[in-house]
Amino acid sequence: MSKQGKQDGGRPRKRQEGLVVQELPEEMLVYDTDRHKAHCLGPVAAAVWEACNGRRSAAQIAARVTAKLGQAVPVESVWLSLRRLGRARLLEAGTALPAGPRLGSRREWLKRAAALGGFSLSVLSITAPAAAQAATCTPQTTCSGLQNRLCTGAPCCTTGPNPAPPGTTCKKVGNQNNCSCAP
Amino acid sequence: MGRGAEARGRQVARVLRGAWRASPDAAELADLGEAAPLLLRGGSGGLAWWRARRLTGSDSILEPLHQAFRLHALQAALHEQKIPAAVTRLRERGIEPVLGKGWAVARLYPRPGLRPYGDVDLYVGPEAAAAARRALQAPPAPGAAVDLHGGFAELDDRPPAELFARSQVAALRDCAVRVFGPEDHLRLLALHFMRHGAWRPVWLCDLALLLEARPLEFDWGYFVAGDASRTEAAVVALRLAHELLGARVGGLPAPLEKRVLPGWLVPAVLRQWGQADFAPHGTRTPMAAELRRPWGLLRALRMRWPNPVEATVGRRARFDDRPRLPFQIRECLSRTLQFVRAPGDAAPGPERAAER
Repeated sequence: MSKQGKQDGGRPRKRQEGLVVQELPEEMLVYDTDRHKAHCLGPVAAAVWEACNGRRSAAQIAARVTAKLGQAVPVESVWLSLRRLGRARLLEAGTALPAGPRLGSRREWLKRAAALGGFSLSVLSITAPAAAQAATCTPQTTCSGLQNRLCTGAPCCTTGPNPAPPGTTCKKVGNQNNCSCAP
Repeated sequence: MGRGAEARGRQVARVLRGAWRASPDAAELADLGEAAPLLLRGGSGGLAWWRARRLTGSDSILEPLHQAFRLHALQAALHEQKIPAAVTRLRERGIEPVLGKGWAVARLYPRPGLRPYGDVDLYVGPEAAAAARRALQAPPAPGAAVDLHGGFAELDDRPPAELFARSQVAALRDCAVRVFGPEDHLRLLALHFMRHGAWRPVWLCDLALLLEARPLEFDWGYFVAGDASRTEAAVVALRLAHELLGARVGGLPAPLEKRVLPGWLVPAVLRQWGQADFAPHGTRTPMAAELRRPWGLLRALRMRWPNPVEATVGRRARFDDRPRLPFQIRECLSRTLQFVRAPGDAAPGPERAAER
């Protein structure tokens, strides 16, 4: 744990930098632009994450989430959510998580999570289904095989066998002979 | 291709019927199971999930569609973060862009993620094109994948001043983004759909959505004004939205509501939608690169063979009952000639056709 984390004294803070958030009525989607990973937060996990301002304890977060969702959310749910948010790196690095119950095995955690509300607590990783494509795009493999005068200028495919990072287009970069998928 | 492709295309059409509405009826699971790969591939996975989201006991079918919806919703958030920077960059240089397609239509769907888009189409007057290109290329990069149009593509049969006068301003975060007026946007989307051979079903959903969400004061006289062959193609596209997807056409002027489609058109569009190995323009290996490979020419020609819709639009032909093969041959020859004249051209095909 970092020095900063110790100073936080178990009051987690949500990560702000390098994330793009899409709030939907049923869930919250978070894209980590540093790691190119996407996560889907269920209602409780989303509310817990929103409440992590670095000043609230687990009990205070639970009270806030209960008020927000209009249903009782026990502190245990907050612990579980924080654990998952931490694993997904959605909390600030070095944030100290509030001390929770010691649950040994993964199975024990899963059982506890299911008992506390299943999906609403979950932090799912979003994976691109094969060939789900937003628009006409150039596969990264095709792009990198083209001579630089033939670059398509089209967005690079973010799905498929060799996905390019989102927001890139197939273009000439510097003095390279071949095209690249670049921002 | 053939009957099998047409049947698959019909399943795609059935799944997308009414999918742009806030509360569509649930889709049939049997259709979903078979059509899911095509729907995902064409960017309609989110819409399919929207129609099927209340179905239960079919996770293996629904989960990839749901994930596609989530992925597209995140991509929308990424775009929305970047669009204002591109628009502001141009404004700072005294250029007012109009945003068409993409975000301009996606924002009208009931949820982000239902209508994916990969780039940001900004339209500027032809006189401002060079300055706009320089502005967008200047470091730091604005981030968004901007498709800059110098001129108004399918709308260039209308005076730019009128396009601007009818344009509207929509809020995107803290930025006011100029978008086309409803008549111009519907015409632009209809012509874009037809010019690209009607290949992407989600583009027809756009037409259905815009048709049903049009304002009371929608000016049909203005919608049909301009180049006659483009107007015919646009009207045919709207009729297709009704026939294939069930778009409501009540209240349309009689010539539009009663337009009869030629017999070849609906099967041609369904075959296109059901074609599993179709490589759309923009994903193909450029012709010049293909020619360096054995059998490259044949492969390239096969991939670029224009479908009947593309050929009709490209040849500015009537949408009537005459056979389409002669138009397809002429369109193919025209593109080949275009390539021979400019072999370095990376994108021979419908994109250039609009600029002819």
